[in-house]
Amino acid sequence: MRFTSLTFLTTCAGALAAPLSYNRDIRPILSENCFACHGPDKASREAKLRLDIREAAIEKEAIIPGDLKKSDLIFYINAEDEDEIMPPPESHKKLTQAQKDTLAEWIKQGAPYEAHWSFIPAVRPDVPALGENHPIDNFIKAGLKGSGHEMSQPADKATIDRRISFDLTGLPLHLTGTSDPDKLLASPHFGERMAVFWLDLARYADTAGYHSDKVRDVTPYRDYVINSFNKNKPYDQFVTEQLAGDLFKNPTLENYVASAFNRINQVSEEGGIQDKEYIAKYYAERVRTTSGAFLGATMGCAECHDHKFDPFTAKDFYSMQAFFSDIYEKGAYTGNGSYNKGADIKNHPGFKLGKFGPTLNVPSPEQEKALVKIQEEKRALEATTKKESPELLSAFNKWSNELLGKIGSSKPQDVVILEDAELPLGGAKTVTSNVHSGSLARIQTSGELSQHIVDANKKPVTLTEGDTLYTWVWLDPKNPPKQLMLQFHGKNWDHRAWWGEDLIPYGKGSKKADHYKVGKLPATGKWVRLEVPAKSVGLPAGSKVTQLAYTQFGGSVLWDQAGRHTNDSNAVLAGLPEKSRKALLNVKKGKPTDQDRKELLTHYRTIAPSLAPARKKIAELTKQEEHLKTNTRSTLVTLSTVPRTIKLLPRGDWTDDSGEVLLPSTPEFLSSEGQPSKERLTRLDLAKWITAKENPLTARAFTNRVWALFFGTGLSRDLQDLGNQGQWPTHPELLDWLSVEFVESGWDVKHLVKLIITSKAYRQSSNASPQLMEEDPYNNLYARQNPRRLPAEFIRDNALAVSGLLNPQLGGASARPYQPAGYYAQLNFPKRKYQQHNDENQYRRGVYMHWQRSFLHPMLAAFDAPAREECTAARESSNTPLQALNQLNDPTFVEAARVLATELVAEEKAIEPRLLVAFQRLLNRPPSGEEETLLTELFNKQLKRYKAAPDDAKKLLSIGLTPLPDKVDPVDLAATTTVTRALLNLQETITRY
Amino acid sequence: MNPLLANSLNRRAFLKNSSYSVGSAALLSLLGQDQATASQWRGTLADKLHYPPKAKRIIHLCMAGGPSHLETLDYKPELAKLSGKGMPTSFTEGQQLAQLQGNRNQLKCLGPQHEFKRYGKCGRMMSSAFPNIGSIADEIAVINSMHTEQINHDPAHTFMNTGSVIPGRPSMGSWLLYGLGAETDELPGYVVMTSSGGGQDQPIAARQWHSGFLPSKFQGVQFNSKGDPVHYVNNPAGVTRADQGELLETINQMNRMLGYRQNDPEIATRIAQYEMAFKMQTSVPGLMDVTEEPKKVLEEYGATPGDGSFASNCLLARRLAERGVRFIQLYHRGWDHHGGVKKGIETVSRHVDKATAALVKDLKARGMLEDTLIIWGGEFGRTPMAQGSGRDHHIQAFSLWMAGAGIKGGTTYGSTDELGYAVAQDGVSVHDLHATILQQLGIDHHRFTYKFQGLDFKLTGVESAKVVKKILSNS
Repeated sequence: MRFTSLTFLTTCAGALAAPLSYNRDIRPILSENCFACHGPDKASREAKLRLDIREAAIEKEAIIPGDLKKSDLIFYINAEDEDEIMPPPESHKKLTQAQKDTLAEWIKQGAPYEAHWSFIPAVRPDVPALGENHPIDNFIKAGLKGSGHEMSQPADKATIDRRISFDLTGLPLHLTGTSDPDKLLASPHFGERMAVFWLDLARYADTAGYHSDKVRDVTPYRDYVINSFNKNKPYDQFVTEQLAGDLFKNPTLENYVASAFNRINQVSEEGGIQDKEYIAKYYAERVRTTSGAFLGATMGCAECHDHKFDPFTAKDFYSMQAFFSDIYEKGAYTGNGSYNKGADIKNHPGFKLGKFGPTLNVPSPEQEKALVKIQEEKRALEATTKKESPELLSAFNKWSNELLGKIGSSKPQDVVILEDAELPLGGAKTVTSNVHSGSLARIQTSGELSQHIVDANKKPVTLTEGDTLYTWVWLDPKNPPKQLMLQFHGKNWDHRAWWGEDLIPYGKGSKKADHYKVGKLPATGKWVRLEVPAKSVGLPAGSKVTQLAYTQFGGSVLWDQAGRHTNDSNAVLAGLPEKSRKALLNVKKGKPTDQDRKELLTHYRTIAPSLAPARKKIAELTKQEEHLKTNTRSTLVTLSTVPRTIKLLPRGDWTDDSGEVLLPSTPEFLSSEGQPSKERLTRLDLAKWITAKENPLTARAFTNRVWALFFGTGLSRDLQDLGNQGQWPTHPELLDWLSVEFVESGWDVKHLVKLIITSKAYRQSSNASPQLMEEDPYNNLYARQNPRRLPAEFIRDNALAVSGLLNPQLGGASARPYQPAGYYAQLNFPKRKYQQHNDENQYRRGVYMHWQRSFLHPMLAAFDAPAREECTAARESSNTPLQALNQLNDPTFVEAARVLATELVAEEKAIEPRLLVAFQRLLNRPPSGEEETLLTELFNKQLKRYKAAPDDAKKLLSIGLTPLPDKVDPVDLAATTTVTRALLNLQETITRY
Repeated sequence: MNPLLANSLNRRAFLKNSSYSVGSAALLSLLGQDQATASQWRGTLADKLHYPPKAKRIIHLCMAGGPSHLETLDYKPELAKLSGKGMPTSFTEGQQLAQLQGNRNQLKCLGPQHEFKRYGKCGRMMSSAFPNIGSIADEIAVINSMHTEQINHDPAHTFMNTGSVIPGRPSMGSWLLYGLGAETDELPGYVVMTSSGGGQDQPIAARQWHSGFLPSKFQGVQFNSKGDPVHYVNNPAGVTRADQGELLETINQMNRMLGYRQNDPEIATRIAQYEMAFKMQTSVPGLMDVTEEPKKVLEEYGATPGDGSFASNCLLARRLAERGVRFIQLYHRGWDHHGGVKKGIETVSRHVDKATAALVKDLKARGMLEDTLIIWGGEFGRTPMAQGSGRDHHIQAFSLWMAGAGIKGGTTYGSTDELGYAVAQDGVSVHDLHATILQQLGIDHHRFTYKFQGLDFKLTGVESAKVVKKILSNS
């Protein structure tokens, strides 16, 4: 794909002295006030006039270059009549006199237009020769010309060292121990720091998002992002792997993991949702995220109508969706949802269909090795069980003869379906003291509804005429249930029998076989047999039962053996697999084939006593294998399958099928026309287009955001949007120079970062003079640094690091730190309880915190971390009382304070030297005399107070998992803890200046 | 004893007595702190409301799960006649259905499961399952012609709260705080509480009270009935209020010292936030402690202190309203009656009926109803068609009511067809509802915007919304 220049806009070189710039001076006025009705959106265009194209504006005589009197635009913006004035009163927009003057001056100057700056490929501008060594500083200096300001002095070394450590790793100098940019860029914590930024854009989280908001593992993707930044993967490759890693010729595990990017959107498994509606939601979200994360463009509006301000059309929006239509997924992750027609996971060996679609196991190298070893051992053992020996054959003959003798017995009998082996399934609790048969009974206790599905058998049970289904139960007389229900799975679950009150919702209201009332609850305190004719629950002879569910409402119940009572004369064969049963009947009839004998022998090997030790060992190995596999992380993954048909949805309405069918294609105004369209374009083509060096948006968007990581604001202020409604950059040439440098360096992220932080501009003091603050409140000149409150994750990391609690482990499963009890009470399906980590995982970095989209950890939420439901390019930096409460009282911070205090108390006897150590760790400076006085006073007061109440001291010192050290004076430690709590709460502690 | 509650004069005194050499800039920024407390919750429209406001605050009784309009507010005798008979296909053909989508060809009508009676002087027909709400029939205006765009709980709530189905947009309450600010600096301006009972508990996500792209200081704060009422509002074990006071005073003094050295407006704000946090540590437990309420009041609401019930929450809502909280949202999760709608309605009525009416009457008796807007309703309605003994989700029509703050009590607005399936007259969209709410607060919804991603976002969306004037006494 090629890029062409923007042919619909005419560029006109203004030759006048001090000319106005269309992009800087005019476009913002027109875009804000006029384009909504006189812009790109056909549907809302008034009077057939568009002002975003020069020819069109001239043709309609809205603008006559150089002639104010004939230009209708000038007439209408100055009109006094309410019916004539533009913008009209109902738009609630009003031009200021200055804006009117500017427009008039511009028409006088010939009304030159320019293409929107961010839609023109960047060209490397000359670096102004202003005597600085660093290109950035020359550009900044050029911007300062005539402003009366100069760059601020460099900050003092202590401040700069602290700044660089936080900015490059998100960790304090105390932990990194260096401010050397090269060392910090080489540290694995650099990747963690950058991931905090990228994961917001990629809307990475640990849960599905909608409705029940279940956990689904995608943590390998998070680690992929960290590793990619650490490896300094070229950005174009990084982008391509995420969009299309699965489409590479021979995708590596890493490529597949990267492709999870397309699958970590919010998905739903809410009952009653429609596949088609949710597919439409997912596709629309992907276009928003793809355009937002990679292009800094807001295509979202084009879902319903042509963009009102940028040349993105609704057709562009849906054509971009079509790139993702091959993704193997469902809309509704419920029974109603279906995967792409023709998709078959069998065509993707190595992948599984999990609850939320295709997944891939991602073992660590150690796990991989262990697995190979287990599998080899298993294979060897399996080979020994297949050997034939005279002993085995004679035992086999004895067994089969015995069975043959019993066939045809016509006595009614019980045939077991479920017993000991199956009862603990699903992690149920079991008891051994009060059982009906075997050695186990299952215990279910519940406040309300409790349902447990138990696999009936690996071999389905086939019912015969007159069968009765039974289960043994024991009802706790002290806590009896209100209702019992047996549910059987035939072809579906609509086979239910119930006893007692009518409370369980399944099948409720029906009087048919899906809700067959048997009678009252049986007696309590003894084993009773629940029985129901199979016919009554809609299971006639010939039906197969594959699963059973023990269901109760309230109470405590023991559940034991389930089975059927049958007249089937061949019931003795019930325990045999279908094929063996047939084989045995053939033998009985006297017409056995070789195949029948083989079949029976194969089955016999699975029960032969002589092979029991080998079988036991195999079972153990299988268990180990399963354990390893379930403890292996997995990730959602993008698989390419049969594409769905994508239609333009009029007004975004998914129920409207009338729109045209669209093939994958990139936005029309940014791509060339004559592109080869013989073959359907793929996500790989999309990635190529995004990372083409001619793409005007990709490098600018990324460069602008990286700049903001180190200055707090982007060169173009709106990090989300570089389009018409975005902001004209404060230093357009600098942004272009950096973007071109970035692309030409081979999309080298560390190079870009190093370039920025080695500039004088970066190292300036953030403590501006009052005059500068007043004259340039938004720091448009960059004549100073911006102070920045640390992002949520780094506030946590800092507290853990300075106290020595931080667990610096890189990557791995998500960590669950302390969280207020009951925080997930509003979640359901299933109800859940947060389980904090009680091991070293408690102290992991914020980037690894469990990210529950519907209930983000209160600390993260208070400090402006987004829920990551959508692509987020910029976090707010708010300042609230909830933040104060969190810092003061969250056990994470109280524990960090007391562990820090413990170290101080161990190192120094007096408060003054303790303060010195603490200040160095936290602020990289000694305390001032006044600070020392103030804190010493606090210490002394607290010392007195805890001396009077040593029990309170112990209470404070037992917050958090860290044990209280022996041989320490709790009163001294508690008073010191109050001091360290104060220090952790300082604005200076959570701000990088 | 408590230095933190000291007023700004003390801070000036501190400044005077301080040994620091204070430059003029630092002086200015320090004096700025005095305004920080007051101004941090001031809304952008605080002094420039578009109309004289009728309402100062809102209590949104969010009946979560999708209350059946057919068993609450929309009287449909024709549906009773067709009960058990096939639903005429002319109604449902080509329409979106939720869980009933598989039974599209065998849809049957389910008659109203509760009798309707005339209530109040206005004589409006209302469900006899809610006799107490019936007793305030003349206070409330019922809208029977609501419709929405989302048929599943999660997106439907999101749409009702934010006016958009795309996550990340600010909720109604956040918009109001942004526009109007809060009248309290001891409590959050936007408080959410939840309760359940009466049907299956559909999950509710914190996005329902999130500030979206607005700064997070505008987000709703959830008050819990168990554990800390607000996260981290209680002191750590072994720390008394006096200890915490000393600690906070030290933190703020240290931050003030920083303010002398460093030109950073965030420092002053931080000091103000710590002051407010400290006040919240007393005011929140004080608010939650309803034992000071007379027994009679507790009985009227049917509230047992600390039980986390809707009744207790209603009483707390009144206490929050008294303390200047701008937006109070009570979720009651108990209305998702796919099966057994008859009994489900009876149960949920036991949870909400008495307390709802008590709240309206209590506010009226205290003279607060006239500037408190009450909204009672859910995220969608339920089908006239049976789903077993229950009803499925329904977006074509549903009912809700409003009361107080310039709402014309006794009015009924809009209507549905004879079976309660679709709006027949005067449809009210969710955006229309939002426009009406804003109007009562003195805000023209067209002119209430926030710039994000280069666009002027409105609570009421892109399409033009209209104020439901006929239910307003000022029209």
